[in-house]
Amino acid sequence: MEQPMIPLIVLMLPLLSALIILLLHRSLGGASALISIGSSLICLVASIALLGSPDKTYPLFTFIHFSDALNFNIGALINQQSKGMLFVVTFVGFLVHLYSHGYMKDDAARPRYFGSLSMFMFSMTGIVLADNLAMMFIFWELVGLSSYLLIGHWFQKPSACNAANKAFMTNRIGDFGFMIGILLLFSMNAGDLSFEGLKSSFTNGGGAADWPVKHVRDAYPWMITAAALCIFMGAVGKSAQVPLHVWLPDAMEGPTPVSALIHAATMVAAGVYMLVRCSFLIAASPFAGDVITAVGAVTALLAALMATQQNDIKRILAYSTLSQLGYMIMAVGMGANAEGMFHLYTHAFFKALLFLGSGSVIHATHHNQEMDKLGGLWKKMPITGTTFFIGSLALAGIPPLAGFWSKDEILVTLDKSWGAWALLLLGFAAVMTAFYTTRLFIRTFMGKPMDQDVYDHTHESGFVMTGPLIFLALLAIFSGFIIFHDVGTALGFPGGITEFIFLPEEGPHKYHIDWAFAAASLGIGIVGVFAGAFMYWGNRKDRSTQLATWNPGLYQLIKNKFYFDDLYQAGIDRGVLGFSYIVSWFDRYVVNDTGIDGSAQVTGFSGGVLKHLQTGRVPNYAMAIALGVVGLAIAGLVVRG
Amino acid sequence: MPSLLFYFFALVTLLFGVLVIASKNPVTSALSLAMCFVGLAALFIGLDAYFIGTIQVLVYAGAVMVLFLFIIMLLDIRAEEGRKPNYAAIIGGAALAVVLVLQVAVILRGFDAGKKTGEDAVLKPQEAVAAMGAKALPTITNDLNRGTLPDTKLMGLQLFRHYSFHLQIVGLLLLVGTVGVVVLSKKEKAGRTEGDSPSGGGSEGESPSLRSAPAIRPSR
Amino acid sequence: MITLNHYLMVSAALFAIGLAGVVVRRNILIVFMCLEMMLSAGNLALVAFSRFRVTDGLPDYSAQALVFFTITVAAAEVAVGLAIIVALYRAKHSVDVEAASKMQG
Repeated sequence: MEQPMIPLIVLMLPLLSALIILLLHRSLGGASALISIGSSLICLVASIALLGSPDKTYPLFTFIHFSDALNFNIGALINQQSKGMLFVVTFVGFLVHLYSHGYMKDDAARPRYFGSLSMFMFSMTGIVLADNLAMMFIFWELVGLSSYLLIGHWFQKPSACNAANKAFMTNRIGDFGFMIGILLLFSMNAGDLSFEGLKSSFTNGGGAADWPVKHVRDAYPWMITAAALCIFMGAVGKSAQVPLHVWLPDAMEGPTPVSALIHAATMVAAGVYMLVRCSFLIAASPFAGDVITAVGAVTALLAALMATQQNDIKRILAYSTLSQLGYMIMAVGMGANAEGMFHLYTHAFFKALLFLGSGSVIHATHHNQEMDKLGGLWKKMPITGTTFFIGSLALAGIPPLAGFWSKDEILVTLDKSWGAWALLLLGFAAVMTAFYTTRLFIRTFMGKPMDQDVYDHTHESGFVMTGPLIFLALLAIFSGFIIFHDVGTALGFPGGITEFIFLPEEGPHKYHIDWAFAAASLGIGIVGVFAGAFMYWGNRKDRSTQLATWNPGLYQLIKNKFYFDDLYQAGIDRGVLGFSYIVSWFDRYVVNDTGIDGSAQVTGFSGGVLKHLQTGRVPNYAMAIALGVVGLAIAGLVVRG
Repeated sequence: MPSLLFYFFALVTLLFGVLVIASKNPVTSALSLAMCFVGLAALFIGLDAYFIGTIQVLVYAGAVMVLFLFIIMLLDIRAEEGRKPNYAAIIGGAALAVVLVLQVAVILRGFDAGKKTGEDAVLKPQEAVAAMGAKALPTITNDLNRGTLPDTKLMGLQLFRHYSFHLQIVGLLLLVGTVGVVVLSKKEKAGRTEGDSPSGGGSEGESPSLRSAPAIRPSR
Repeated sequence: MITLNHYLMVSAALFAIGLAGVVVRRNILIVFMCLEMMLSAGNLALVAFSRFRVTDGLPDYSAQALVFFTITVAAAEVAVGLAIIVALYRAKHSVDVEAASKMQG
């Protein structure tokens, strides 16, 4: 059935809302929030409606059409991947919109916030629905822009501006690689950048007439790896993998709902989603797949270590996001697309829950984010505390919550592909995850309050904020069960998880739970939790300080985030600024003084010389005429003979 | 024309020409120029161009030079005295003239068609009658048959048969010149403003003599 | 014998003398007279060509017609030019060519 309407609505309605807010924000004022929330609700309903529709590609607009060779369209590719992702994006988006209504109640720039939020929804749904790489790239950039706007929402704070710039610039570096990858694919597939077309070229070896991918694979096998790695660069930038991870912790300068939506659930997951969409490319180049997995593993491990030393609750959650993204990227690199996407969905739920919960805490304590000032808040904020507890358990990977199932699946795949030593490292990362999660929870919600003043002024947040928390907590508990075939069927998806996540021809149709493994990962989780509790229970600082003095070098290394930021800053100071001195010298002395000033002075000088020809004396002019005649005659004689 | 006469008149022409540019007194220059024209007229007559030769004397020596003398007298131009000659300009001008003559000499050396003499260009009046054919005028053919060259009549034939339109135009030109001279020479009267009609020669078809001509301010 | 080239040489010499006068002399009237000399030199060349180009036993009179027109136009030009000189004299009270040097750049 031809129904381009629903994808069209999902795509364009947030844009419409953003435009309305842009144009009418002065007269709308607070009502702009309602417009934005309404549009996100409609999008949610539409995406639910899409869940049942058949797989199809809907061409929507023609963007550029120069000739048959250069043809970019805006279209929607609806298949399992996009349906699931769209649902998650719109669902979490709607909850965040609702939450923002309460969180940003006192903010004067609400229209701008909601306009940017609608803009973000437009861009994100664009990425999800994209049926070709060019369209995805356009919306990729738009998402980066929306993120910049939202991170820098409180632009009066210089730190927020810097963070927004940092996010955009780091993203841009990744996008450069992405663009190169797209161009490589463009040349390999003779201009057809649609996912369907690329997939058929890569799997069947057929495809476009002039440069079938099979030909490329035989003649230039390195080009496929190069394309895969370049496309991965985009994911490195957007999903904040090492070495481009530096923007995500700083992005916490933005409002907490933004952090929840963009930097936990949706935008950073776009990198993973894009890689899943391009899974044929990774399958075609095992080397690239290994690189991707390695990068993901390194990120997971390093981020988990860095999270243990942070004191700001949002920063801890940011590093935890980095770590979990590392897991997802690892999964995709190994070809386990379904596991990666599954972890993406569950992570979206519980991480959004955790962020919104921390937002509730921040809002209640009037923007006190440092854990040094918090403590014992559970009594004062029961709903927030409980939901936060559920989210922490999910993050730590404690069954039967969702995080356990998804993380477990990834570790199983890792074991199958890479062996025991990788499992050891990632297991250690999982221990760390549980550890810092417990640390966070204990220091924020339990024990005695560190700052009595803050404690006295805290109160539970309104329903507008706690409602989404409760909803997400329920999802965090139950969404893991969809892995079981029967649960999935009961919900209306005959194939269980497979139907919800990836295309039918991939992967097994039934999930077998390896109970031994499950027990092992449960054990890991419990170890981490106990370690955290051991260190931090009861406001005890002595054990953690002892650990710090045990290996001061390592402690400093982790505390300073492995000096990545310092390294980049030094590179910019020396490299970029040094180069810019050269360029500015050239601009000043060559272009300006010689070229521009020089030509002006030459003109002036020659004018000053030539003006002496105009004597105004008639005899001179007569002489000139006579000389001209004689000269011409001489010239004629010379030329003739 | 016998060579002697040619050389004599050529010398006269050139000599008086040099005298024009060399004399201090403008009246001397004018009169020398008149003599130069007379020499030229003699050369014309030697070339069997009787009409043109006569016209040269009548118009040039008779009217134009007299006009020059009138103006010299009117403006009361004295001889330029007490001014030391500008040697640079003199040498420059002389060099210019010499170079030009040399160039022409070089060109003429290679000009073969110019090497014909009077014998090669013999006039045959009787034969010309036959060539003229049906368009012949009796007065001309009679003179030609008698062996003389009716130069004036042939000139008239040429002008009025082939160049009649040009003749009319030249007539108009003379009219315009006359008008222009009248307008240009008018003295400025006090209190008169500049008229709105365009001044001077070149405006065809207008006759400012029909209304009072505007005063023309001399160019400042 | 006198050839066409002789006449042309005389014409050239007269023209050159006129040119030298235009360049050298400072009195406008003398300059004007030299202009007339140059014109007449041209006329001489024309008449010489007319005589030495014999068609059907007669000289070619079209050149002489041109001379006729040249003389006419020269006369008209002299008239107008002298009127201008008179006007110039009234303004500058001098017939020196240096007097009208307002076009100095």
